[in-house]
Amino acid sequence: MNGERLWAALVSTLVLGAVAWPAVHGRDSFPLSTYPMFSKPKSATAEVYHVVAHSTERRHRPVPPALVGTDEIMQAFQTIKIAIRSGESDPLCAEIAARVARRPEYVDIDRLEVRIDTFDTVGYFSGDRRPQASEVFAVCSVPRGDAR
Amino acid sequence: MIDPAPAVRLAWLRVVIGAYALVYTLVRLPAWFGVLRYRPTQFHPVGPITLLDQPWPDAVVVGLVFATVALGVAFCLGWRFRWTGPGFAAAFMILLSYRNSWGMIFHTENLMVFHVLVLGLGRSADAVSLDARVRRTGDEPEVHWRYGWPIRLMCAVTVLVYLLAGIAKLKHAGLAWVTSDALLNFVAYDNVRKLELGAGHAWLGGFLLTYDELFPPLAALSLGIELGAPLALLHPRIARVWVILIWSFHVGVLLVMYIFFHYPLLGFAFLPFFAIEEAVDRMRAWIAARRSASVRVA
Repeated sequence: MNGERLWAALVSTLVLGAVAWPAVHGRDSFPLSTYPMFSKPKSATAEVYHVVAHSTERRHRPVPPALVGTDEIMQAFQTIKIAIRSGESDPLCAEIAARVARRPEYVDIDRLEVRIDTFDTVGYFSGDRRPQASEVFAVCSVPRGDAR
Repeated sequence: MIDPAPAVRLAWLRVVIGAYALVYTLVRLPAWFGVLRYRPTQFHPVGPITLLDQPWPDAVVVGLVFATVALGVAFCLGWRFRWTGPGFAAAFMILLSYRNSWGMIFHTENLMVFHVLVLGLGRSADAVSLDARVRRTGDEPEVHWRYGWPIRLMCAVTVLVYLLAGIAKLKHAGLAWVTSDALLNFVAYDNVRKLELGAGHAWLGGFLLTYDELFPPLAALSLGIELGAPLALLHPRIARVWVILIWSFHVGVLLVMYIFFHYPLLGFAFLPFFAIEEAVDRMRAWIAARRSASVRVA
């Protein structure tokens, strides 16, 4: 086998072996993955880690990912989840509140809650949008200086 | 045995997939720099980043981003490819791994990283490159198996990734993934989570949830497409059918879950299954015909 054939065989074996390895090893990582998305069965309820903005006009609404500090929905979810699990809900709440205070479309927001809400996922789309259970981990006021 | 392939096919794959990876690197600049704002407690290193105990200083991240862009340009141009090919592949993988080391792994990026890696380790710049211009002897590079194996490997990696996704479903849920409400619950869960995170969701997904009988057949179809992926390696015609099916699967995921698997949805993931140089030739002929037509009109 000449050098070029050896190189082709080596690269092919290593790349295919590496890509397949997590299926044996069982641990998801990057770029080697078990591709777990959509594979683990979900129940009909969803625990959602999110930040809810409370409005003085009763237009309470979830805080979007951009205000959590990322443009990715899933990254926002993980950021909140990690903050809750590592006991950092309060500083996260304060950071988001500072961003909310700078956005004119959130002028009606006076406080934020970092929370886990549990929803009936299928019922949600039939109109039942109330959480079945809730846990609040941090509450913070939106700083409103002279600008308000 | 690996079929021989023309050097230009592998070269155009380098140009097109390399350009896609480069544009992706540029478009995602806010994401690469966004990690500088994350809390250290969010740092959960994955892949090559597991060698680190703590996040890099900001200057290293910025340097990595600029190095990746510079190497990406060289990769696309085929300039000193012996070094810049593997260099871009490594830098791209490290950059994306670093970005994925903050609590969330984006499975939309794996296949692109593998394709760039294979292109970087093959002789992908023997044509359509600055290196080829410098070395030009008057003879076009030949058709050879050395240009065929990286293409075949990219196809094999593509089908393997989908096969693994199918196996993961069977491993975690067995056939209940098809026969139970698994898919329905996924669609509902994903859309609720998006709405409750203040983001856009898939309207169609929410609408279809009222027709729960639709989901087991859809689950069976998607699992069948994933598990049947290796068939695409048997014959080019089977490959074309599979590519259409898997692309349609991604369109479905976009419509019902609002998840944009950009690399396959935009078609780049499946280019190794096609004779891309023929498309380039047809495009050149079409441009030449339009030019000559406009000259005649003038």
